[in-house]
Amino acid sequence: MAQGERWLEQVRRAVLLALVAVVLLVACNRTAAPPPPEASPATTPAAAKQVRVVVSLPVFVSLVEAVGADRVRVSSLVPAGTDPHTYQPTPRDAQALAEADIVFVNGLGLEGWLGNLIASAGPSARVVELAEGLQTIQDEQGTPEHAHEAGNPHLWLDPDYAIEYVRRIAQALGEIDPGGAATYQTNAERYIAEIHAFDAWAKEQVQRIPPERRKLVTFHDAFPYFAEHYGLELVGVIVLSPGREPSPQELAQLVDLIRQQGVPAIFTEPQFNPKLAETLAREAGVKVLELYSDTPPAGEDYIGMMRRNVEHVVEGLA
Amino acid sequence: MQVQTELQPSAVTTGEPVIVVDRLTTGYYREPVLQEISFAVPRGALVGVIGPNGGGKSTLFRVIVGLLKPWQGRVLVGGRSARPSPDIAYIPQIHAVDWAFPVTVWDVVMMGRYPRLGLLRRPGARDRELAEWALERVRMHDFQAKPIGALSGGQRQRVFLARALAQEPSILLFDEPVSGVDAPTQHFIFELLEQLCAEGRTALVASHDLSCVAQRFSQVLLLNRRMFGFGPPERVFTEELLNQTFDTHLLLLRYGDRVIVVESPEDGTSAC
Amino acid sequence: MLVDLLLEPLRYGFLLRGLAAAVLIGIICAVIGTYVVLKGFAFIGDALAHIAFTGIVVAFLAGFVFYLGALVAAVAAGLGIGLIQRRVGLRTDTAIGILFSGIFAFGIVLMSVGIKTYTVDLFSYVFGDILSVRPRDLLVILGLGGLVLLLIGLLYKELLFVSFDPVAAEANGLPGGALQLLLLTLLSITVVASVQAVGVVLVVAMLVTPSATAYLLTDRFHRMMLLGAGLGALSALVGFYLSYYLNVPSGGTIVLVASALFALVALLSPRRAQLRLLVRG
Repeated sequence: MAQGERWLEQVRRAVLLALVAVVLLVACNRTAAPPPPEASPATTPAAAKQVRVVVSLPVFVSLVEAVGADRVRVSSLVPAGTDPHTYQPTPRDAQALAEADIVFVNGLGLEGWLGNLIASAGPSARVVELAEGLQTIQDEQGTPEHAHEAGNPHLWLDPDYAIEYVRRIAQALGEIDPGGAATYQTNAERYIAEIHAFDAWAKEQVQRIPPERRKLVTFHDAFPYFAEHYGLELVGVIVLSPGREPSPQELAQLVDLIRQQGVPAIFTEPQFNPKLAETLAREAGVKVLELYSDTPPAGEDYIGMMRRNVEHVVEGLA
Repeated sequence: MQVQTELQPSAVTTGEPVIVVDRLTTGYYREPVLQEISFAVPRGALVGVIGPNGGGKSTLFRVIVGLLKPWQGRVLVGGRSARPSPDIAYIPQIHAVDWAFPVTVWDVVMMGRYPRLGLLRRPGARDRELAEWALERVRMHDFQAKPIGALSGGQRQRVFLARALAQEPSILLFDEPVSGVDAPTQHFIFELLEQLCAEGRTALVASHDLSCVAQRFSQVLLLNRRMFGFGPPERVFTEELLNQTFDTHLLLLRYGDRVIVVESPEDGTSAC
Repeated sequence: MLVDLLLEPLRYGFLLRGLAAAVLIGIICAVIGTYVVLKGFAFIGDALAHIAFTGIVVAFLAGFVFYLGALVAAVAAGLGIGLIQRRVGLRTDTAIGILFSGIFAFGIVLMSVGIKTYTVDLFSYVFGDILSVRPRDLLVILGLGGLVLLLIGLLYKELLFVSFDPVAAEANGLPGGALQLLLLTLLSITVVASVQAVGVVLVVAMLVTPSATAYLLTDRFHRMMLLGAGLGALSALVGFYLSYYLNVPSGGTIVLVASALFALVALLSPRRAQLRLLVRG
C-alpha cells in the first residue's frame, strides 16, 4: 500500500521534472543567444551599481563574496557540483562573460574549455588568473596525456595559496572599482584571519591521526597541495585525469599499495561515479569517504568546505 | 519485338470452391489497391493471376493468406475467413529475401516444417523425410548442403517451391515464379504445378509476363486494381480484355486452337 | 609459468569479476549480434544504448534503480522502433535517428536542468567501466543474459524463419510481428545489461564485430551464432589479459582484439569476404 504510493509519487516526480525541463528549455532559448558585446548596453560599467564578477568554479564564488561583500555580484560558469575538467559551456556562460566587469579563473589548464569561450564571447573585462606565477607541484606521474601540463592546478586546497588568491582578488577588485579598494582590503584581511584560524584548528585535528596512517588516496589528482600542507603522504590516485579510463594493472597496483601501506580509507568526490572507488575499497577492505575540491557543499563557503575535508580525512584515517 | 503466347484449353476442374473472393476492396492506409474483386477458385485449379506490375497481385495474395484484412467484402478459404495457416503456402518473390543469409538449401526447406511443429518442438524423422521428398520433387536433392547464396535464380525458385511442398499445403500462392528464370526451369515449375493440381492441390500463380505461361492455366484472373476478367484462358484472353488490363495495345492472332499475342514494338516484354 | 601469468590478475576480486562480466557480455552480445548483423540492426543497437542513458537520468531524478530506468527506456524504445519498422513509407533509419538523438539530447538537458546540487557523473554509467563491476552488476548481467539466451534457445527456429523470410513466416502462421518485437526487446535487454560494463560505443562493437567475423567463416546460421559467441568470449578473454599486461584500459583492448580477429579473418579468406561483401552490396 505504502509502497504503491511511494511508486506513484516517484512517477509523479519524474513526469513533473520532465515538464519542468521542457519549460526551462523554452525559457533558456529565449535568453540564450548572447548579444554582440558592443551592442549590449550592459557592458558599460556605469550601467550597474554592483561590480559584476564571473568566476570559473563555484569554490571561488565564496572567496570573491568574502572580499567584495555587497559591492559585487558573483556568478560561477561551472555549475555547482560539475566536473570542471570536462565541463561544456552553455550560451548563457558566453553571455555572462560578455557582460562581466571582471573575470577570475584559476588557470594552469584547469579550465581548458575557457579559452575558446573567452575568445568567442570577447569580454571587455579583465581576466585574472589566480594561480598565475605561483609555485606549483609537478605531477608525479608526468604522463604526457595528463591535462595539467603546467603543474597541478588545485592550489586553493592549500590554505596558504587560498590566502594568496584572496589577496589577488582584493587587489584586482580595487583596481577596477577604486571607490571600494579600502573595503576590499579590510574584508580580505578579515577573511585571511578566518582562514588562519581554520588552519590552526585543522593542523590540530590532523595531529589526531597516528603518523603512520597519514596516507591519502583520492579519486583524481586534486589534493597534492592539501596533502603537503597538512603533512599527509599522497599514496595514489584512482584516475590519473578525469575521463581517462584506468587500466586493470594500475588499479591492481593501487590495491596492493593500499594494502601494503595500510591506508585506512580512500576518498572520492561527489561529482564522480562512486562505483570505481567502491570497487577498490571493497577489494582492499577499506572505507570510502568524500572530499570536496571544486564545489563547496550546499550552504558552505571555502572555509566550510575545507573544514568538511579535514573532518572527513580525520574520520577516515584516525 | 514480337512475342508469342500460345493458349490451350486446359482440363476442366470440378468440386467445391476452396477460395471465394466476394466484392473485395482493400489497400494500404487510405489508398485502395484492389476494388470490387469477386471470383471463386475450385479445388485443383491452376489459376493465373495476370496483370501489370503494381496491379495488386501481391496484395491479393496477402489478403488470401490473411496478412491484410478486407476493407469491404470477404475472402473465404476452405469456407472460413482467410487467416495465416500452414495449410496455405505463400511463396514470395525471390528478391523479397536476403540470399546472403547463412542458411543452406536444407535449412530453407526445413523452415516449411516449422509452423506445423509448433513452439518448442524440434524437427523429427518425419519432418526430415518430408523435406527430402520435397527436394526430390523439385530435383534439388543434390544441392541440399549448398549455401543458398550460391544458387541461380531458377534454383532459388525451386528451393522456395520445395519449402512450400514440405509444408504440406492444400493451397499454393506463387508470386512471380518465372521472373528471372530460364525457360527450362519455367517449364519444370509449371509441369510440377500441374502435377500438384492434378493431385488435388490448388495453386494461384501471379505473373506480369504473358509470353510463356499463359497456356498453362486452367483459369485466368486479369487484375489491374480492378478485375478485368476471370475464367478459362480461351475465354478471358481476348484482345479487348488484355488491352484494358495492361493499358496497352496487343494484337491477338488466332491460329487454329492457338492464340498468338503480338505486342506493340515499343513494349519491352521479353520473348521466350 | 603460463598458468601463473593467467592466474596473476585473478588474485583480485574486481579483476575476476571484470573478466567474468566481459566474457559473459562477449557471449550474449554475439548471440543477439547474429541477428543484428544479418538484419542490419547495428544502428538500432547504438540508438538503444543512447536511449538507455536518458532512462538512467530519469531514474536518477525520480529515485528509481538505474537498471530499471535504463531497461524501461530501452525496451520502450525497442518496441517503438519495431512499430516504426512495420509502417511502410518511413525510412526506418531516419526515423530512428530522429527518435534516438532527440531522446538522448533530452537526457543531457534533463541532467543539467534537473540536477542542481552535486552532479553525480551520470555519463560514467553509460560510458561504463568493466573494472568497476560490482557483484550485484554481475548478477544482473547473468540474469538478463540468461533470459536472453534462454528465449533465443527456445524460439530458435521461429526466430530463424522470421529473420530470413518474415512475410512467408507470417503467412504460414508464425506470429511474425510479435517475434520481431521480441527480438528488439532482447536486443534492448542485452544493451542495458552490457552498457554499464563496457559503455555505449563498445557495446555496439561487441554486438557487431564477433558476429560479423563468424559470418565470414560459416554458411550456417547456428554455427555463426556459436562461432560468434566463441569469438566474443575469446576477444574478451584475450583483450582482458592484454590490457592487464600492457597496462592499458580493458574495454578498448577487448574491442581492438575483436576488430583484429575480424581483419585477420577477412584477409585470410579474401575470396569469401569479397564475395560476401559483393552479395550484400
